[in-house]
Amino acid sequence: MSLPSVRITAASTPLSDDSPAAARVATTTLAAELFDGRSARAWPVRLWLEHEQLVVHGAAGERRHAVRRVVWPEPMRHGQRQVHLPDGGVLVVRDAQAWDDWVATGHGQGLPRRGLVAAWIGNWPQVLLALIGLVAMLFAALRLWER
Amino acid sequence: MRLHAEEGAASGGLTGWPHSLFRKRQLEMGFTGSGSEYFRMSVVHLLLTLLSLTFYAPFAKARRLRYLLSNTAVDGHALSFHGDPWTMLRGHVLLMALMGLCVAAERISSAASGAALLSLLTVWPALWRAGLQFRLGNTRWRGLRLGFEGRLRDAYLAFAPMLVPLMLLVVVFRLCRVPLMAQAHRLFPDAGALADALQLMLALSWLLPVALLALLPWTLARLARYRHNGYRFADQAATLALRTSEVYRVGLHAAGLWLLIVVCGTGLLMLPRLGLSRLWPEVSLSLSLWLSWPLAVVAGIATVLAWACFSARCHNLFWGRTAADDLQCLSRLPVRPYMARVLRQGVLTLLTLGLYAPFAIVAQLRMRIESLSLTLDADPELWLARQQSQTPVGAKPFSAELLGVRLGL
Repeated sequence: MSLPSVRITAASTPLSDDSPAAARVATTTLAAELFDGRSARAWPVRLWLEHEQLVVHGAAGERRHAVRRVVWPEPMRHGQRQVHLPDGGVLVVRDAQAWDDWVATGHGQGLPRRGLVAAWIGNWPQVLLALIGLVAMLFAALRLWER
Repeated sequence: MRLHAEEGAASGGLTGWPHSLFRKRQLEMGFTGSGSEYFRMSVVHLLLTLLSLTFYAPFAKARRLRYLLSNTAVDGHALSFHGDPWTMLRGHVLLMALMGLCVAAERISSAASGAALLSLLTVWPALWRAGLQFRLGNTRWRGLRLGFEGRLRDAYLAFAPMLVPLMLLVVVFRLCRVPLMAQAHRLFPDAGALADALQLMLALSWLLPVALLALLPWTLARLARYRHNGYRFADQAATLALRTSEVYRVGLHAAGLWLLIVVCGTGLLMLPRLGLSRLWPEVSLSLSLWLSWPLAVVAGIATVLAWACFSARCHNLFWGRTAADDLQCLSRLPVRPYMARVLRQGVLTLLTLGLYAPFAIVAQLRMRIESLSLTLDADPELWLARQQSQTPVGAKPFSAELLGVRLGL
């Protein structure tokens, strides 16, 4: 079984961070599993960002996806990181810490910044402000009800 | 399956393909979500939903499902949710329109309100099915979509035991109230007789919730069969072998537990009153007034425990009887610890005015998910996506169709 619609490039051998090809890589590489959406088989791959593209490199070849067309996972403390590719594939990174470190290096390559709501959820003081807002709304609603 | 059975018999109980690397094995389920993260998400979502007049609700739901599923792992591989919140917004607007119609009709007349309620009840099974199709169609494990293939007609049949009496009630009390009252006036021209007849009807109306409660296990059994028989994954079609009488047995057990707690609790609370009534009748009278609160608390505790018992046993029954060609589900949710946890968390939720609810939801979900496991008799790496889920090459999120409108719920 081979990966369908894979564009084989010159760098078709698995990359390591100290390989000669890694010299042109903009970000460090990250180990992940690729599910192509057609079979349940997991393909071990390495990822990196290059010219605002996500490069997915595995034994069967290389795929490139525009960074803005990829659905990136929201930063959460727990759970695996899942990247939804535009061709229906899913990339899974089990090591959440390694993913977060990798993302921190990738902002120069067009990786989207953390969304406003996701940033809000990740910040305890802002969540407490939201809670105070909710209580205030509750009291206002009760006042209106009494009238 | 037959081949597997023959092979299993030949190889001394071990099944699977003898020449392959795998054997029948158990896939454990795990949950890694955290209460504090879910709490923060819930607070922000609630505020944004209220500020946006509920239009943010589908976006909140999509994020919540993404979070819960990405923290649910089967054999170390997490599930993922791909639903498009904009498609879900369409479904949300449709629901809001239906609810709004009911509220507006309530202000016009009783008959209009009845017609609106009737239309909501009529479309409810179709909406529920569309929601199931949407959620499962956008859930993946190992990159493959899950699916739901229950037929629309069967959704109505599954809801029928509860839906038909409810519809009849709407027809009687809303749509035909005026003609029925006119008929009652003709039958009982005397005002006293009419009042007596109405009082009798009012007394009988207490039977309605009891009758609906009695129909609940039947409806739940039908709904569980409909839901589980419609689950699909790769070439695996799930089936649920369940008899309605088994759900009634679980229901009777829970009802018995409720009665036992209420009787014992009431007895314990009444003992001091019985003793005091002989010695100091005045003190005993004021004590009986004070006892109404503890009695309500006992009834509340009994209801929570009975519901937790019913829910845990149903969970074990429904999932433990679900199987597919190469998969068998197992559910070992410990009933008593689950009941204790639900009660403890219910008390904490009340004491914190609801703030503990997200922590309770995550803890209960963890217990339910981690009680499940799958026995696999195949190599999952060889499973392929089903034909219909492959058509959009998996690139577009799945959206259910309701009366030709593509929406998500």
